[in-house]
Amino acid sequence: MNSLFKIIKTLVFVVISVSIVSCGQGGNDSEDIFDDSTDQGFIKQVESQTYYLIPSPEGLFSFIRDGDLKYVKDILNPTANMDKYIDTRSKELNFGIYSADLAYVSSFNKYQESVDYLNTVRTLSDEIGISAVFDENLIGRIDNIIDDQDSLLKVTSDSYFSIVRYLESTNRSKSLALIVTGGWIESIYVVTNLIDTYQKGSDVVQLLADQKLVVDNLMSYLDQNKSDDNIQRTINDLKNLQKIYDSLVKKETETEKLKPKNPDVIVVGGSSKIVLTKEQFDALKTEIAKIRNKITKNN
Amino acid sequence: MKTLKFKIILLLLFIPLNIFAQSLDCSSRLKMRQPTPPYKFNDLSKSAQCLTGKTYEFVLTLTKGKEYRMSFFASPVFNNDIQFRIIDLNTNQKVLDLPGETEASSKGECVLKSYFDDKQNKLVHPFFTFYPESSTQFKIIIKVASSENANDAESSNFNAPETRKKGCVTVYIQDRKAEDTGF
Repeated sequence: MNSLFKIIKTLVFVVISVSIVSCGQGGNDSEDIFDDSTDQGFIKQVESQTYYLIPSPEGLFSFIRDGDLKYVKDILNPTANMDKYIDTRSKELNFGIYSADLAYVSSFNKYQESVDYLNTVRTLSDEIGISAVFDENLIGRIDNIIDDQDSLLKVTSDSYFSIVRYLESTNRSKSLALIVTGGWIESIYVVTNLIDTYQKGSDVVQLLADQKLVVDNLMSYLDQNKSDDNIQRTINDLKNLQKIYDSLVKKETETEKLKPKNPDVIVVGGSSKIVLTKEQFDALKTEIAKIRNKITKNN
Repeated sequence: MKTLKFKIILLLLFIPLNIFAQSLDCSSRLKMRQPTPPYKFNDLSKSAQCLTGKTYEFVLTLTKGKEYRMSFFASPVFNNDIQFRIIDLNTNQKVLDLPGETEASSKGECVLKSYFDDKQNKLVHPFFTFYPESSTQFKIIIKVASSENANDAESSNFNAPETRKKGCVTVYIQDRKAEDTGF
């Protein structure tokens, strides 16, 4: 009887220990389960927490769709490059890069290219341990798309968001940081390479200038994970780009203010805008190409 | 006796599985939300696991050319006892500072409690629409009030382990192309 008591005691201890470690991990998504859940003690005293939210490549390319930038397949990272990515860092960064390429080709309704990039993303997802994202439901939706831009875009953006959600729920913040960084770098690389000539004040130049705000968020986000060597290397690689963005200044706009017709809409942002000069644009284009090519060539 | 031991061991081995299943998967909260046309889901949306007595900040970029609609949701465990504040970092102005719920919970008065909309003749969950005149950064500050239990614990014994409730808070963002402008 004593030995039975010892076993029970040991197992109860193990159960309690495991339950403490599991706080914050992914699990059941039923609404009911957390209504009554309480954590008694054992919670690390952190009084505030900051989340830096970075736009997805699809979010950035949606501005391109609204404009009239062209489709240039040659600027994308060829799917054949996938074999070059052996280490975790290059796989995760290039996963982000291929995700951005996928968003770009599907923005232009390129069905076959979308399937090719989707397959590359799926293969890489397997190698970085997130293949569970591509469940039967998602694969079924991919197979059923026939030259339908909205469906194609919906599926590609849904798959990107599923990846983000999966990495968040499995507490893989470092992988997520690298994937998001890769996606953002490729998006900016593509946009800068689609501009033949710099046009002061154009929508796309303004979009690039506004990325100053995103870079600040991205660097803060990476900084939260800088204890990881792969993240620290990425921070170092982005320092020159950050310097370029730091040199951009805000300027008061002179145009008459437009107001929304709906009185419930709250106008924000003020009247100053970030200005990207031709010299800064050229420097940005060169630097982003340098960073991106280093990642895709895996030097 | 051996059978009894085996049954107890089996039972105890199943308990951890149940405990794992009860941890929160806040990210999947977003799946439950549907955009309201003409607005589309914006993937800056975030659902995070939160604890009572803690403050959370979400920093995001709002880009000129789009109109953003934001709404907030929280697990019932928090009893809507949450304060929401949004700072426009471009102008350093507070653009929203509201509680989760008020006594009347009328339109524009709170963030979490639905109100009756006479025009639509139905209950509507509060939402806030923002039009960025210039691209800007928003800092959304979400302060989750301490739970009553936590207060009790603090008052009864200063060194007692703190009791905190856990749930999800969702920042749901939709956007559309900003067209609705005029002088």
